[in-house]
Amino acid sequence: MTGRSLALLLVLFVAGIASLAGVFGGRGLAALVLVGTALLGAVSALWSSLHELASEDVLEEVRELPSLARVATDDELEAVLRALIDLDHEVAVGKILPGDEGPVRHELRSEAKRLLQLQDARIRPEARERARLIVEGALASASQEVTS
Amino acid sequence: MSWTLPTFGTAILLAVLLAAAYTFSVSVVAGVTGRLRLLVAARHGAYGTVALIAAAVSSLAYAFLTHDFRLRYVARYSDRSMSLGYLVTALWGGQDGSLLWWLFLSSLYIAAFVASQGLRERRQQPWILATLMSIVGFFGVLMLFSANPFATGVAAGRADGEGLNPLLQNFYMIIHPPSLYVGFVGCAVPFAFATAALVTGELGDRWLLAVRRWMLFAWTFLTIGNVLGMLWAYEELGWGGYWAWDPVENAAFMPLLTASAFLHSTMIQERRGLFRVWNVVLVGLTFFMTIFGTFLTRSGLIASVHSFAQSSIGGYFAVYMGLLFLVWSGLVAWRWPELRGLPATLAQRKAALGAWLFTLLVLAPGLVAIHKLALPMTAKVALFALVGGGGSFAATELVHRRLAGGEVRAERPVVESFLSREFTFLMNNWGLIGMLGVILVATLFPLFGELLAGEKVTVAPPHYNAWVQPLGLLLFFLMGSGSLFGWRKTSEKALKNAFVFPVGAALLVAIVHGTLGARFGCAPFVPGERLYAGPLGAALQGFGTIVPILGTSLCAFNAAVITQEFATLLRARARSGALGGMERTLWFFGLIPGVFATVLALATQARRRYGGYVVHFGIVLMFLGFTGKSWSVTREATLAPGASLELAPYTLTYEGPRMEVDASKRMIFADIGVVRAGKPVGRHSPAKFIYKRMPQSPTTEVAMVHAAADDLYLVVGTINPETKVATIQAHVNPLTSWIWLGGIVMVLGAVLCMWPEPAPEESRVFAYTRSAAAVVASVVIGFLVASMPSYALHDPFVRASSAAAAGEAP
Repeated sequence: MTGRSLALLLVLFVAGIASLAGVFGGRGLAALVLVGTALLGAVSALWSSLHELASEDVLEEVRELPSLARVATDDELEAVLRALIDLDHEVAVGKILPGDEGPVRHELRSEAKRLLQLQDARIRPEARERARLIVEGALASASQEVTS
Repeated sequence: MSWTLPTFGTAILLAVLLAAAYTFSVSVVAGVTGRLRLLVAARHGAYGTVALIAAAVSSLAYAFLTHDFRLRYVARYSDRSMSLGYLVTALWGGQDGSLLWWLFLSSLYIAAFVASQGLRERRQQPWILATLMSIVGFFGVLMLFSANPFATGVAAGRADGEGLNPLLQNFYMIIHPPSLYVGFVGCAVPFAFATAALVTGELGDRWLLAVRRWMLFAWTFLTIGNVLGMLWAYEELGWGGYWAWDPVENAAFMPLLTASAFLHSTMIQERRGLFRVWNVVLVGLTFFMTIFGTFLTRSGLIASVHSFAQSSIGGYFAVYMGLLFLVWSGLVAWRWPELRGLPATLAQRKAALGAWLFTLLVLAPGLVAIHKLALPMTAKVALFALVGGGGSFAATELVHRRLAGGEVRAERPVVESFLSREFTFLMNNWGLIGMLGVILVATLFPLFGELLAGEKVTVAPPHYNAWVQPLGLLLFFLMGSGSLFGWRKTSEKALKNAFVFPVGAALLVAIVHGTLGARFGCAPFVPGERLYAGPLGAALQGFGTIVPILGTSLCAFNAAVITQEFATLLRARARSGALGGMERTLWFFGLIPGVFATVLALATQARRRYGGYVVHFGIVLMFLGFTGKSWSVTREATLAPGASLELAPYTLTYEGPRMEVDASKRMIFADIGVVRAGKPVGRHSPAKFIYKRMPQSPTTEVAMVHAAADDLYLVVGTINPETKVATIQAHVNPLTSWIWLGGIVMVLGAVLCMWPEPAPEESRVFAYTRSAAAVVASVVIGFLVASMPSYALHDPFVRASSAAAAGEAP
C-alpha cells in the first residue's frame, strides 16, 4: 500500500470516527475529534521534520543524483517536437494548406536535429559508452532470437 | 491562565505562525544548499503547518456548533436559532473568519502540492514551499495581531448571539464565497512556482507546464465564484440586475481577467518560446490582484454595498503588497537577462537592476510631484498614466540600453506574421489587460479623486458599461477569430476558407435581427446614453446604440467558429480512421455526449484546445444573456387589490397583501397572479421580511418566473396596511437564463481541459472505460450544477415564501 493510499484511508477513518461522534455525542464532539486528530497530525509531522533535520543520511549523495538540472535545450527540443505535432494537426484540420507546410516542417525538423546533436554532445563519454553497450547487448540478443 | 477555547484557539494560531516560519527557514536553507534531507524536513514541516491550520478551523467550528458566545466573532455572526448549514456559512461570513477560511483553503492547496509533487523538481520545490509559507505567515500575523477570530470582547453583543446578516442567509452565499476563495487562493500556487523559477533561474517551459493545471483549476473556481456571486445578487438584492460594477465584484473579476490572459499566453511560450517576461508578470499580477481584491474588500478604502466592516487590517495589506511588489519586481529585474534571452553576465544583471532602481527612484517621486500640481483631476490622472507608462518604458529600454552598453536585443523568437495565432493571442492579451486597466482605474477613481482633487467621485455603472462594452465585444471577436488562425503563419487562402462560414453566419443573423428584431421585442438598435460631451461621448453613445445587433452577430460568429472547428476535427478523425466505435455511438446519443467523447479521446494538447472551445461556447451563451439586458423593461406601479399591470408579454394582477410570522421574522407578501401571453403561470409573491433582530433593515425577497426567453422579476416596495395598496416593481429581463447556462458550460469545458492524460501503460480497454466514466461524471456534474437553483428553492427563506404563496404554513 502506497503512502498516499494510507493517508487517504486515514482521512476516511477520521471522517468516520467524527461522524460517529457527531451522531452519538453531538456536533460539538465531532468538531473536537477533528481538532484532536489535526493536532496529533501536526505534532507527528513536525516531529518527523525535526527528526529528518537531526538525522544523518549516508546515501544522501546517491539519492541526490537524479536531481541533475535540465538545460535550456531540453525545453527547446520539447517545444519544437510539440510544434511538429501541432503542424500535423493543423494540416489535418485544414488550418495550414498542404502546400504551405513544407518550409515550416523543414525548418522545425532542422531545428530538432540541431538540438538533438547538442544534447548528444552534452552526454558524457562514459554515459555514451554505457548506452552503446546496452544497445549492442539488446541487438545481440535480438539477433540470437532470430537465429534460433 | 485558564485554558479556555479563546486561549486555545489563539495558541493554535501562534503555533501556525511558528510552524510556517520554521518551514520557511528550512525550505530556504534546502533551496540554497540543495540538500535533499532538508527538503524532506521542509515537506514534513508543511504538512505540520497544514494540520495546525485544520485544527484552528475545527476549533472555530466547535465554537459555532456549541454557541460559545464568549468569542466575539461567534457572537456577532451566529445565534442559537441558526441551522447547521448557516452555522458553517458563518465560518466565513465575517472578516476574521473569512481570513481563517482563506488560510484553510491555502493549506489544502499546500497539502495537495506537497502530496502530488513527491520529490520531483528538487531545485524548485524548496522555493515553492518557502513562498507558500511566507503567504501563510502573512495571514498568521494578520490574524494574531489584527483579526483574531478567537478574540473575546465586551462588544460580543447579545448573550445568545446577533445572528448572521439575513442577506447572507441564502443558498448561493453558502457556496459562492468558498468557490471564490478556492479561486483566489489557488492563484498562490502558480505564483509560488513562478517565484521559484525566478530564484533558481530555471525559466524554461517546465515551470509553465507545471503551473498550467493549477492556474486552470483556480480559473475554474474564479469563474464559478463570479457566476454564483451574480446569481446571489440577482436573487437576493432585489434591484433587477446581476452585476453593478461594485468594487467587491470588480475585485473578484480582475484576477479572472489576468488568469485568462495567462492561460492563453502560456500557449504561445509553450509553442513558440515567446512572451517569457509577459507570462511571469501575468502570474505575479494575478496573485497580486487576489491580494489587492482582499485588501479592497476589507480595508474600507472604497465604499461598497457588500464589503466587510472597516478595520485596521488595511495597513497590513498595504505593507504586504508593497513588499510583494518590491521583492517580485526585484527578482524579475535580477532575472531579466535570462527572461529576455540575453547573456547572463554581471553587466547585464547590473543594467537590469539599474533600470529597476531608476523606475523606483524616479517614477515614485514623479508621481508624488504630479499630485501636488494645481491641475484639474482628469489632467492629473492623464499625467499619472503618462509618467507611469513613460517612466517604465524609459527604464526598461533607455536606461537598460545605456547601462548594458547597447546590448539589449537578443536573438529570440518573434511573431513572424500578423496572420498568425500568436498575434491574435497577443491582441487578446492586450484586450484583457486593457479591460483590467479600465476596471482598476474606475474602481480606484474615488480614491484618486480624493488624493488628487480633494473630492470624492464615484464611477456609476453606465460609465463602466460605456468603456467595457467596446472592449468586451472586441475581445469576443478576437476569441472567435483567433481560433481560425494557425501558428506561425496562415496563408490567405486558408484564412478565407476558415472565415467564410462564420462571417456568413454573422451576416445572416445581423440581417435577420435587423429586419425582424423589433417585431419580437429585441430591437437591433437601442439608443445609448450620452455620458460625456464631445466626440468621445458621441462615439461611445453610438457604440452603445449598436450593441444589440453587434452582440447577436458576434454570438453567431463565435458559435459558427466553434461548430466549424468541431466539424473539421470530426472530418479529420473520420479520414484518419481515429473516430472509434464508442465515439460514433456517443455522437448518436446527442451533441453533449458526442463532444465529450471526442474531446476526451484527443491527445492532451488537442484536448486542451477543444476543451477551450467548449469554454468559448459557454462565453457565447453568456454574451447572449448580456445582450438580452439591452431589451430589459422595468415598470413600477402602485396597485390596489384587483388592479392589473401590463408588461409584455406578461399581465400581472395584484391580488392583495398577506402576512405570515415565524420564530425569527414577519413576512409580508404581495400575492400577484401572473399570466404570460394569455397562459396563467401561477401566483407569485414578492415579499418584505422583517427580522426581529434587525427590524430597522427589512430585506427584499424577490419572486421570479424563469423562462428561456426572459425572466419576470417581481419586487414589492411598500404595502399600505390600511388601504392594502402596494408599490410593485416588475422587470422583464430577456435571455438572463442563458448566462447561468453559459457558466455551467464554461465549467464543463474547463473540466475537459484539466482531464488527466491516460498513462502510457494504461490498457486500451481501461482508457475507454475511463472515457465513458468521464462522460457520465461530466454529465452528472452538469446536472448537479444545473439543479442548483432548485436547491436554492429549498432555502428556508424561499421555501417560506413559496409555502406562504401556496397558502400553507411556512
